[in-house]
Amino acid sequence: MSVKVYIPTPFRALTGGQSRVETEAGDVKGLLGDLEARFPGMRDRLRDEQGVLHQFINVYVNSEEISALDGEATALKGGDDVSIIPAVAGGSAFTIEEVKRYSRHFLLQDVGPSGQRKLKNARVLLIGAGGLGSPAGLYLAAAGVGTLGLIDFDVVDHSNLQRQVLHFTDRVGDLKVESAKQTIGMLNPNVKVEAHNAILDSSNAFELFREYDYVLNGVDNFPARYLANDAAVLLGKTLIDGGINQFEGQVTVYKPGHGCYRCLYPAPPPPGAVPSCAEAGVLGVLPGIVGSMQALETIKQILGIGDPLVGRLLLFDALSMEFRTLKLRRDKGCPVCGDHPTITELIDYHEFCGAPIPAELADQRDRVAVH
Amino acid sequence: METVSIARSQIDAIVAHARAGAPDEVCGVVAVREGEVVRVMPTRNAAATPRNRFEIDSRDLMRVVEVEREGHDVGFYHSHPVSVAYPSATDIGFAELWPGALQLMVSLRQDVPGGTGPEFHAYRIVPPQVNVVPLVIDESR
Ligand SMILES: [Zn+2]
Ligand SMILES: [Zn+2]
Repeated sequence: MSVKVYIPTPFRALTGGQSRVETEAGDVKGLLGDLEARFPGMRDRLRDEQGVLHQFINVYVNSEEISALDGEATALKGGDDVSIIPAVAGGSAFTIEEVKRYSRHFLLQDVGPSGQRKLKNARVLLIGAGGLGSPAGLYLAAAGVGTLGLIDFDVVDHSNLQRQVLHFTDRVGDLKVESAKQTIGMLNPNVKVEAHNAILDSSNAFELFREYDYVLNGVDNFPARYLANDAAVLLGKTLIDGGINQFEGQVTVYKPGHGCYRCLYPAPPPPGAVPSCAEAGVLGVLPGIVGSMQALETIKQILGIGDPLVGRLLLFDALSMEFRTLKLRRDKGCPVCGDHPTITELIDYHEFCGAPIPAELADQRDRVAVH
Repeated sequence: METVSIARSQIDAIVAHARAGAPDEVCGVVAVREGEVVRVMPTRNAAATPRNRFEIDSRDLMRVVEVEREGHDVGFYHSHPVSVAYPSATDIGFAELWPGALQLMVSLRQDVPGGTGPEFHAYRIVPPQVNVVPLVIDESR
Protein backbone atom coordinates (compact mmCIF):
# COMPACT_ATOMS: atom_id res chain seq x y z
CA MET A 1 0.00 0.00 0.00
CA SER A 2 2.99 2.19 -0.63
CA VAL A 3 2.65 5.55 -2.41
CA LYS A 4 5.53 7.35 -4.17
CA VAL A 5 5.90 11.06 -3.59
CA TYR A 6 7.81 13.39 -5.88
CA ILE A 7 9.74 16.00 -3.87
CA PRO A 8 10.47 19.19 -5.87
CA THR A 9 14.03 20.53 -5.99
CA PRO A 10 13.38 23.42 -3.57
CA PHE A 11 12.25 20.94 -0.86
CA ARG A 12 15.11 18.49 -1.21
CA ALA A 13 17.23 20.24 1.38
CA LEU A 14 14.61 18.95 3.83
CA THR A 15 14.61 15.35 2.56
CA GLY A 16 18.36 14.91 2.54
CA GLY A 17 18.46 15.28 -1.23
CA GLN A 18 15.87 12.57 -1.94
CA SER A 19 13.71 13.35 -4.97
CA ARG A 20 11.28 10.52 -4.22
CA VAL A 21 10.09 9.23 -0.92
CA GLU A 22 7.70 6.40 -0.19
CA THR A 23 4.92 6.55 2.33
CA GLU A 24 1.99 4.52 3.60
CA ALA A 25 -1.08 6.71 3.70
CA GLY A 26 -4.76 6.30 2.91
CA ASP A 27 -5.28 9.85 1.71
CA VAL A 28 -3.43 13.04 0.81
CA LYS A 29 -3.90 14.55 4.25
CA GLY A 30 -2.30 11.50 5.84
CA LEU A 31 0.51 11.58 3.32
CA LEU A 32 1.31 15.24 3.96
CA GLY A 33 1.09 14.60 7.71
CA ASP A 34 3.60 11.78 7.33
CA LEU A 35 6.03 14.03 5.40
CA GLU A 36 5.61 16.79 7.99
CA ALA A 37 6.42 14.33 10.77
CA ARG A 38 9.43 12.82 9.01
CA PHE A 39 11.05 15.97 7.66
CA PRO A 40 11.44 18.93 10.06
CA GLY A 41 10.66 22.23 8.32
CA MET A 42 8.32 20.59 5.82
CA ARG A 43 5.22 21.79 7.62
CA ASP A 44 6.20 25.46 7.25
CA ARG A 45 6.80 24.94 3.56
CA LEU A 46 3.41 23.31 3.05
CA ARG A 47 1.06 25.10 5.44
CA ASP A 48 0.38 28.52 6.97
CA GLU A 49 0.02 29.18 10.73
CA GLN A 50 -3.61 28.09 10.61
CA GLY A 51 -2.56 24.77 9.10
CA VAL A 52 -4.09 25.58 5.70
CA LEU A 53 -2.17 24.33 2.67
CA HIS A 54 -0.36 27.32 1.09
CA GLN A 55 -2.12 28.48 -2.04
CA PHE A 56 1.17 28.36 -3.94
CA ILE A 57 1.66 24.66 -3.22
CA ASN A 58 0.08 22.34 -5.78
CA VAL A 59 -0.47 18.65 -5.01
CA TYR A 60 -1.15 16.11 -7.77
CA VAL A 61 -2.27 12.50 -7.58
CA ASN A 62 -1.35 10.66 -10.78
CA SER A 63 -0.99 14.01 -12.60
CA GLU A 64 -4.42 15.21 -11.45
CA GLU A 65 -4.50 18.25 -9.18
CA ILE A 66 -6.19 17.49 -5.84
CA SER A 67 -8.38 20.59 -6.08
CA ALA A 68 -10.05 18.81 -9.02
CA LEU A 69 -10.38 15.65 -6.89
CA ASP A 70 -11.35 15.61 -3.20
CA GLY A 71 -8.72 18.03 -1.94
CA GLU A 72 -6.75 16.70 1.00
CA ALA A 73 -9.40 14.01 1.47
CA THR A 74 -8.44 12.47 -1.90
CA ALA A 75 -8.00 8.74 -1.30
CA LEU A 76 -4.73 7.00 -2.19
CA LYS A 77 -4.08 3.41 -3.16
CA GLY A 78 -0.90 1.39 -3.58
CA GLY A 79 1.15 2.42 -6.60
CA ASP A 80 -0.25 5.97 -6.79
CA ASP A 81 2.15 8.74 -7.73
CA VAL A 82 1.89 11.95 -5.75
CA SER A 83 3.70 15.15 -6.78
CA ILE A 84 4.17 18.29 -4.74
CA ILE A 85 5.01 21.28 -6.94
CA PRO A 86 5.41 24.90 -5.80
CA ALA A 87 3.84 27.54 -8.05
CA VAL A 88 6.01 29.31 -10.62
CA ALA A 89 5.03 32.96 -10.77
CA GLY A 90 6.27 36.50 -11.11
CA GLY A 91 5.48 39.73 -12.79
CA SER A 92 6.74 43.10 -13.91
CA ALA A 93 6.11 46.38 -12.19
CA PHE A 94 4.05 48.16 -14.80
CA THR A 95 1.53 47.38 -17.49
CA ILE A 96 1.77 48.93 -20.95
CA GLU A 97 -1.11 51.17 -19.96
CA GLU A 98 0.85 52.39 -16.93
CA VAL A 99 4.05 52.87 -18.92
CA LYS A 100 2.15 55.10 -21.35
CA ARG A 101 0.21 56.90 -18.63
CA TYR A 102 3.31 57.75 -16.60
CA SER A 103 5.69 58.24 -19.55
CA ARG A 104 6.33 61.89 -18.60
CA HIS A 105 7.36 60.74 -15.13
CA PHE A 106 9.57 58.00 -16.58
CA LEU A 107 11.47 60.66 -18.54
CA LEU A 108 12.41 62.51 -15.36
CA GLN A 109 15.67 61.43 -13.77
CA ASP A 110 14.29 62.10 -10.29
CA VAL A 111 11.18 59.99 -10.83
CA GLY A 112 11.68 57.26 -13.45
CA PRO A 113 10.36 53.72 -12.96
CA SER A 114 11.73 53.45 -9.42
CA GLY A 115 10.06 56.71 -8.36
CA GLN A 116 6.85 55.63 -10.01
CA ARG A 117 7.01 52.41 -8.00
CA LYS A 118 7.37 54.48 -4.81
CA LEU A 119 4.25 56.43 -5.80
CA LYS A 120 2.41 53.20 -6.54
CA ASN A 121 3.32 51.75 -3.15
CA ALA A 122 2.43 54.96 -1.27
CA ARG A 123 -0.67 55.30 0.90
CA VAL A 124 -1.95 58.85 1.42
CA LEU A 125 -4.88 59.88 3.59
CA LEU A 126 -6.88 62.93 2.50
CA ILE A 127 -8.86 64.52 5.28
CA GLY A 128 -11.82 66.08 3.53
CA ALA A 129 -13.02 65.60 -0.05
CA GLY A 130 -13.80 69.31 -0.44
CA GLY A 131 -12.01 72.39 -1.70
CA LEU A 132 -8.45 71.26 -0.90
CA GLY A 133 -9.03 67.51 -1.05
CA SER A 134 -10.45 67.80 -4.57
CA PRO A 135 -7.41 69.13 -6.44
CA ALA A 136 -5.06 67.21 -4.17
CA GLY A 137 -6.94 63.96 -4.74
CA LEU A 138 -7.12 64.48 -8.50
CA TYR A 139 -3.43 65.25 -8.88
CA LEU A 140 -2.25 62.49 -6.54
CA ALA A 141 -4.42 60.00 -8.41
CA ALA A 142 -3.24 61.26 -11.80
CA ALA A 143 0.38 60.98 -10.64
CA GLY A 144 -0.16 57.34 -9.73
CA VAL A 145 -0.25 57.32 -5.91
CA GLY A 146 -1.37 53.73 -5.38
CA THR A 147 -3.75 54.10 -2.45
CA LEU A 148 -5.77 57.14 -1.45
CA GLY A 149 -7.79 57.15 1.74
CA LEU A 150 -10.61 59.69 1.88
CA ILE A 151 -12.45 60.72 5.01
CA ASP A 152 -15.48 63.01 4.80
CA PHE A 153 -18.96 62.81 6.29
CA ASP A 154 -20.68 65.33 4.01
CA VAL A 155 -22.91 65.04 0.98
CA VAL A 156 -22.36 67.02 -2.22
CA ASP A 157 -24.21 70.34 -2.12
CA HIS A 158 -24.81 72.84 -4.94
CA SER A 159 -22.65 75.38 -3.06
CA ASN A 160 -19.64 72.99 -3.27
CA LEU A 161 -19.50 72.92 -7.06
CA GLN A 162 -17.89 76.39 -7.33
CA ARG A 163 -14.55 74.94 -6.13
CA GLN A 164 -14.75 71.22 -5.19
CA VAL A 165 -13.75 69.79 -8.57
CA LEU A 166 -14.04 66.13 -7.55
CA HIS A 167 -17.83 66.51 -7.64
CA PHE A 168 -20.22 67.08 -10.52
CA THR A 169 -23.71 68.56 -10.75
CA ASP A 170 -25.44 65.19 -11.04
CA ARG A 171 -23.82 64.06 -7.77
CA VAL A 172 -25.63 66.66 -5.62
CA GLY A 173 -27.02 64.74 -2.65
CA ASP A 174 -24.49 61.88 -2.98
CA LEU A 175 -21.92 61.12 -0.28
CA LYS A 176 -18.75 63.10 -1.01
CA VAL A 177 -16.49 60.10 -0.50
CA GLU A 178 -18.52 58.06 -2.98
CA SER A 179 -18.59 60.88 -5.53
CA ALA A 180 -14.83 61.34 -5.10
CA LYS A 181 -14.19 57.62 -5.48
CA GLN A 182 -16.18 57.61 -8.71
CA THR A 183 -14.28 60.59 -10.18
CA ILE A 184 -10.86 59.22 -9.22
CA GLY A 185 -11.79 55.85 -10.70
CA MET A 186 -12.62 57.56 -14.00
CA LEU A 187 -9.34 59.49 -13.98
CA ASN A 188 -7.04 56.62 -12.99
CA PRO A 189 -8.47 53.13 -12.43
CA ASN A 190 -5.06 51.95 -11.13
CA VAL A 191 -5.61 53.91 -7.92
CA LYS A 192 -7.22 52.16 -4.98
CA VAL A 193 -9.59 54.51 -3.15
CA GLU A 194 -10.49 53.72 0.45
CA ALA A 195 -13.62 55.71 1.31
CA HIS A 196 -14.30 56.48 4.97
CA ASN A 197 -17.70 58.13 5.36
CA ALA A 198 -17.14 59.49 8.85
CA ILE A 199 -16.33 62.57 10.90
CA LEU A 200 -12.70 62.63 11.99
CA ASP A 201 -12.76 62.54 15.78
CA SER A 202 -10.82 61.20 18.73
CA SER A 203 -12.45 57.79 18.35
CA ASN A 204 -11.15 57.06 14.85
CA ALA A 205 -8.18 59.38 14.14
CA PHE A 206 -5.39 57.11 15.45
CA GLU A 207 -6.77 53.99 13.81
CA LEU A 208 -7.15 55.78 10.49
CA PHE A 209 -3.82 57.63 10.48
CA ARG A 210 -1.91 54.44 11.28
CA GLU A 211 -3.05 52.94 7.97
CA TYR A 212 -1.32 55.61 5.87
CA ASP A 213 2.19 56.91 5.15
CA TYR A 214 1.22 60.58 4.78
CA VAL A 215 -1.76 62.69 5.80
CA LEU A 216 -2.91 65.57 3.63
CA ASN A 217 -4.99 67.99 5.65
CA GLY A 218 -7.90 69.48 3.75
CA VAL A 219 -10.17 70.30 6.68
CA ASP A 220 -12.23 73.46 6.92
CA ASN A 221 -12.82 73.63 10.67
CA PHE A 222 -10.82 74.01 13.86
CA PRO A 223 -11.83 70.82 15.70
CA ALA A 224 -10.57 68.65 12.83
CA ARG A 225 -7.47 70.80 12.32
CA TYR A 226 -6.35 70.40 15.94
CA LEU A 227 -7.30 66.75 15.95
CA ALA A 228 -5.37 66.02 12.74
CA ASN A 229 -2.35 67.92 14.05
CA ASP A 230 -2.31 66.16 17.42
CA ALA A 231 -2.87 62.72 15.91
CA ALA A 232 -0.06 63.27 13.39
CA VAL A 233 2.36 64.47 16.09
CA LEU A 234 1.48 61.66 18.50
CA LEU A 235 1.87 58.99 15.77
CA GLY A 236 4.94 60.59 14.18
CA LYS A 237 3.24 61.05 10.79
CA THR A 238 4.09 63.83 8.36
CA LEU A 239 1.13 66.17 7.87
CA ILE A 240 0.87 68.15 4.65
CA ASP A 241 -1.19 71.07 5.82
CA GLY A 242 -3.17 73.63 3.89
CA GLY A 243 -5.69 76.34 4.69
CA ILE A 244 -7.73 78.93 2.84
CA ASN A 245 -9.64 82.00 3.88
CA GLN A 246 -11.43 84.25 1.41
CA PHE A 247 -8.52 85.40 -0.81
CA GLU A 248 -5.60 83.94 1.13
CA GLY A 249 -4.10 80.51 1.38
CA GLN A 250 -1.30 78.84 3.28
CA VAL A 251 0.66 75.60 2.93
CA THR A 252 3.26 73.90 5.07
CA VAL A 253 4.60 70.44 5.86
CA TYR A 254 4.65 69.46 9.52
CA LYS A 255 7.29 66.80 9.88
CA PRO A 256 7.79 65.17 13.27
CA GLY A 257 10.45 67.05 15.21
CA HIS A 258 10.11 70.19 13.07
CA GLY A 259 7.16 71.87 14.71
CA CYS A 260 3.42 71.60 14.37
CA TYR A 261 0.24 73.62 14.12
CA ARG A 262 0.11 74.08 17.88
CA CYS A 263 3.58 75.64 17.82
CA LEU A 264 1.83 78.49 15.98
CA TYR A 265 -1.60 78.33 17.56
CA PRO A 266 -1.34 76.53 20.93
CA ALA A 267 -5.10 76.51 21.52
CA PRO A 268 -8.20 77.13 19.41
CA PRO A 269 -9.89 80.55 19.63
CA PRO A 270 -13.07 80.71 21.70
CA PRO A 271 -16.25 79.73 19.81
CA GLY A 272 -17.83 82.73 18.10
CA ALA A 273 -14.55 84.65 17.88
CA VAL A 274 -14.14 83.78 14.20
CA PRO A 275 -16.67 83.77 11.36
CA SER A 276 -18.36 80.47 10.49
CA CYS A 277 -17.28 78.56 7.39
CA ALA A 278 -20.49 79.42 5.60
CA GLU A 279 -20.13 83.13 6.33
CA ALA A 280 -16.47 83.46 5.43
CA GLY A 281 -16.60 82.80 1.71
CA VAL A 282 -13.75 81.73 -0.52
CA LEU A 283 -12.69 82.56 -4.05
CA GLY A 284 -13.32 79.53 -6.28
CA VAL A 285 -9.87 78.97 -7.76
CA LEU A 286 -7.94 79.50 -4.52
CA PRO A 287 -8.34 76.00 -3.04
CA GLY A 288 -7.27 74.63 -6.42
CA ILE A 289 -3.90 76.36 -6.04
CA VAL A 290 -3.41 75.50 -2.37
CA GLY A 291 -4.57 71.88 -2.70
CA SER A 292 -2.34 71.40 -5.74
CA MET A 293 0.65 72.65 -3.78
CA GLN A 294 -0.21 70.18 -1.01
CA ALA A 295 -0.30 67.39 -3.59
CA LEU A 296 3.09 68.52 -4.91
CA GLU A 297 4.63 68.52 -1.43
CA THR A 298 3.18 65.06 -0.80
CA ILE A 299 4.75 63.71 -3.97
CA LYS A 300 8.10 65.28 -3.02
CA GLN A 301 7.85 63.54 0.36
CA ILE A 302 7.11 60.17 -1.28
CA LEU A 303 9.93 60.52 -3.81
CA GLY A 304 12.35 62.13 -1.36
CA ILE A 305 13.26 64.89 -3.81
CA GLY A 306 13.72 68.65 -3.59
CA ASP A 307 13.46 70.93 -0.58
CA PRO A 308 10.26 70.19 1.27
CA LEU A 309 8.16 72.94 2.78
CA VAL A 310 9.27 71.81 6.24
CA GLY A 311 9.93 74.61 8.73
CA ARG A 312 8.43 77.09 6.30
CA LEU A 313 4.90 78.44 5.99
CA LEU A 314 4.03 79.51 2.47
CA LEU A 315 1.42 82.27 2.31
CA PHE A 316 -0.39 83.07 -0.90
CA ASP A 317 -2.39 86.22 -1.55
CA ALA A 318 -4.64 85.68 -4.55
CA LEU A 319 -5.44 89.40 -4.98
CA SER A 320 -1.85 90.69 -5.03
CA MET A 321 -0.60 87.40 -6.55
CA GLU A 322 2.20 87.30 -4.02
CA PHE A 323 3.85 84.37 -2.28
CA ARG A 324 5.62 84.93 1.02
CA THR A 325 7.44 82.41 3.16
CA LEU A 326 7.63 82.55 6.93
CA LYS A 327 10.14 80.54 8.89
CA LEU A 328 8.62 78.10 11.36
CA ARG A 329 10.45 76.63 14.28
CA ARG A 330 9.44 73.97 16.75
CA ASP A 331 8.34 75.66 19.99
CA LYS A 332 9.97 73.95 22.96
CA GLY A 333 6.91 74.97 24.96
CA CYS A 334 4.42 73.55 22.44
CA PRO A 335 1.70 71.66 24.33
CA VAL A 336 1.91 68.65 21.98
CA CYS A 337 5.35 68.57 20.28
CA GLY A 338 7.35 70.58 22.86
CA ASP A 339 9.91 69.31 25.34
CA HIS A 340 7.31 68.76 28.03
CA PRO A 341 4.04 68.06 26.23
CA THR A 342 0.83 68.42 28.19
CA ILE A 343 -1.37 66.96 25.44
CA THR A 344 -0.83 63.22 25.20
CA GLU A 345 -4.23 62.15 23.93
CA LEU A 346 -6.75 63.45 21.41
CA ILE A 347 -9.21 66.22 22.27
CA ASP A 348 -12.59 66.77 20.59
CA TYR A 349 -13.26 70.51 20.30
CA HIS A 350 -16.67 71.91 19.40
CA GLU A 351 -17.49 73.01 15.90
CA PHE A 352 -16.33 76.46 14.81
CA CYS A 353 -14.59 77.90 11.77
CA GLY A 354 -12.15 80.38 10.27
CA ALA A 355 -8.37 80.63 10.27
CA PRO A 356 -7.00 83.81 11.85
CA ILE A 357 -3.33 84.63 11.53
CA PRO A 358 -1.91 85.59 14.95
CA ALA A 359 -0.62 89.13 15.39
CA GLU A 360 3.06 88.21 15.71
CA LEU A 361 2.89 86.21 12.48
CA ALA A 362 1.05 89.00 10.71
CA ASP A 363 3.91 91.34 11.72
CA GLN A 364 6.54 88.87 10.64
CA ARG A 365 4.73 88.37 7.36
CA ASP A 366 5.26 92.03 6.49
CA ARG A 367 8.96 91.76 7.23
CA VAL A 368 9.83 88.51 5.51
CA ALA A 369 11.11 88.74 1.97
CA VAL A 370 9.32 87.01 -0.86
CA HIS A 371 10.99 83.73 -1.86
CA MET B 1 31.95 31.11 -13.88
CA GLU B 2 28.83 29.24 -14.92
CA THR B 3 27.47 29.71 -18.44
CA VAL B 4 24.43 28.13 -20.06
CA SER B 5 24.25 27.29 -23.72
CA ILE B 6 21.06 27.70 -25.69
CA ALA B 7 20.25 27.15 -29.36
CA ARG B 8 19.21 30.11 -31.53
CA SER B 9 16.08 28.14 -32.47
CA GLN B 10 15.13 27.87 -28.76
CA ILE B 11 15.50 31.62 -28.28
CA ASP B 12 13.41 32.12 -31.42
CA ALA B 13 10.70 29.84 -30.01
CA ILE B 14 10.54 31.77 -26.73
CA VAL B 15 10.49 35.14 -28.54
CA ALA B 16 7.72 33.88 -30.83
CA HIS B 17 5.70 32.79 -27.78
CA ALA B 18 6.24 36.19 -26.13
CA ARG B 19 5.18 38.07 -29.28
CA ALA B 20 2.09 35.93 -29.71
CA GLY B 21 1.09 36.51 -26.09
CA ALA B 22 1.81 40.27 -25.94
CA PRO B 23 0.61 42.51 -24.38
CA ASP B 24 0.28 39.76 -21.74
CA GLU B 25 3.27 38.08 -20.13
CA VAL B 26 3.90 34.50 -21.25
CA CYS B 27 5.72 31.72 -19.41
CA GLY B 28 7.13 28.23 -19.83
CA VAL B 29 9.31 25.45 -18.52
CA VAL B 30 12.77 24.54 -19.83
CA ALA B 31 14.85 21.42 -19.35
CA VAL B 32 18.57 21.88 -18.73
CA ARG B 33 21.21 19.15 -19.06
CA GLU B 34 24.78 19.83 -18.03
CA GLY B 35 24.60 23.55 -18.74
CA GLU B 36 22.67 23.21 -21.96
CA VAL B 37 19.02 24.02 -22.59
CA VAL B 38 17.66 20.83 -24.16
CA ARG B 39 13.92 21.50 -24.27
CA VAL B 40 11.55 24.50 -24.26
CA MET B 41 7.92 23.94 -23.26
CA PRO B 42 5.40 26.79 -23.44
CA THR B 43 2.80 26.76 -20.67
CA ARG B 44 -0.40 28.69 -20.05
CA ASN B 45 -0.34 31.87 -17.95
CA ALA B 46 -3.02 31.57 -15.26
CA ALA B 47 -2.39 34.95 -13.58
CA ALA B 48 -5.53 37.01 -12.93
CA THR B 49 -3.84 40.12 -14.39
CA PRO B 50 -1.54 38.69 -17.09
CA ARG B 51 -0.61 42.20 -18.33
CA ASN B 52 2.03 42.38 -15.63
CA ARG B 53 1.88 39.03 -13.86
CA PHE B 54 2.48 35.42 -14.72
CA GLU B 55 1.74 32.20 -13.00
CA ILE B 56 2.31 28.90 -14.76
CA ASP B 57 -1.09 27.22 -14.99
CA SER B 58 -1.18 24.45 -12.40
CA ARG B 59 -2.47 22.09 -15.13
CA ASP B 60 0.89 22.54 -16.88
CA LEU B 61 3.08 22.20 -13.82
CA MET B 62 3.48 18.42 -14.16
CA ARG B 63 5.99 19.36 -16.86
CA VAL B 64 8.36 20.00 -13.99
CA VAL B 65 8.13 16.38 -12.86
CA GLU B 66 8.54 15.13 -16.45
CA VAL B 67 11.73 17.13 -16.86
CA GLU B 68 13.19 15.82 -13.66
CA ARG B 69 12.10 12.26 -14.43
CA GLU B 70 14.17 12.54 -17.58
CA GLY B 71 17.10 13.37 -15.35
CA HIS B 72 17.27 17.03 -16.35
CA ASP B 73 17.28 20.19 -14.28
CA VAL B 74 14.17 22.31 -14.37
CA GLY B 75 14.21 25.98 -15.39
CA PHE B 76 11.63 28.53 -16.41
CA TYR B 77 11.12 31.38 -18.80
CA HIS B 78 8.79 34.38 -18.90
CA SER B 79 8.36 37.57 -20.84
CA HIS B 80 8.20 41.24 -19.93
CA PRO B 81 6.21 42.92 -22.70
CA VAL B 82 7.19 46.48 -21.71
CA SER B 83 9.87 46.39 -19.05
CA VAL B 84 13.48 45.28 -19.08
CA ALA B 85 14.63 41.64 -19.13
CA TYR B 86 15.63 41.82 -15.50
CA PRO B 87 13.81 40.23 -12.55
CA SER B 88 11.21 42.55 -11.02
CA ALA B 89 10.59 42.72 -7.28
CA THR B 90 7.67 40.35 -7.83
CA ASP B 91 9.88 37.92 -9.74
CA ILE B 92 12.45 37.98 -6.97
CA GLY B 93 9.74 37.44 -4.35
CA PHE B 94 8.29 34.40 -6.11
CA ALA B 95 11.75 32.99 -6.80
CA GLU B 96 11.72 32.01 -3.14
CA LEU B 97 9.60 29.03 -4.24
CA TRP B 98 12.29 27.90 -6.72
CA PRO B 99 15.54 29.38 -5.45
CA GLY B 100 18.46 28.94 -7.81
CA ALA B 101 16.43 27.62 -10.75
CA LEU B 102 17.50 28.87 -14.18
CA GLN B 103 15.22 31.78 -15.14
CA LEU B 104 15.24 32.89 -18.76
CA MET B 105 13.71 36.28 -19.44
CA VAL B 106 12.76 37.99 -22.66
CA SER B 107 11.85 41.68 -22.95
CA LEU B 108 9.89 43.06 -25.88
CA ARG B 109 10.36 46.71 -24.94
CA GLN B 110 12.78 47.20 -27.87
CA ASP B 111 10.87 44.84 -30.15
CA VAL B 112 9.26 47.73 -32.01
CA PRO B 113 9.89 49.40 -35.38
CA GLY B 114 13.21 51.23 -35.06
CA GLY B 115 14.02 49.37 -31.84
CA THR B 116 16.99 47.13 -31.14
CA GLY B 117 14.90 43.93 -30.98
CA PRO B 118 14.00 41.46 -28.22
CA GLU B 119 16.33 41.28 -25.24
CA PHE B 120 17.16 37.88 -23.77
CA HIS B 121 18.92 37.14 -20.46
CA ALA B 122 19.29 34.38 -17.90
CA TYR B 123 19.45 34.48 -14.13
CA ARG B 124 19.58 32.34 -11.05
CA ILE B 125 17.71 34.07 -8.24
CA VAL B 126 18.34 33.22 -4.60
CA PRO B 127 16.26 35.98 -2.99
CA PRO B 128 17.24 38.70 -2.54
CA GLN B 129 20.27 37.92 -4.70
CA VAL B 130 20.01 37.96 -8.49
CA ASN B 131 22.88 36.22 -10.29
CA VAL B 132 23.34 36.80 -14.00
CA VAL B 133 24.08 33.63 -15.98
CA PRO B 134 25.91 34.41 -19.24
CA LEU B 135 24.29 32.68 -22.21
CA VAL B 136 26.33 31.02 -24.94
CA ILE B 137 24.18 31.01 -28.07
CA ASP B 138 24.61 28.09 -30.44
CA GLU B 139 23.77 29.64 -33.81
CA SER B 140 23.92 26.28 -35.60
CA ARG B 141 21.03 24.69 -33.72
ZN1 LIG C 1 9.10 39.10 -14.54
ZN1 LIG D 1 4.17 71.88 18.11
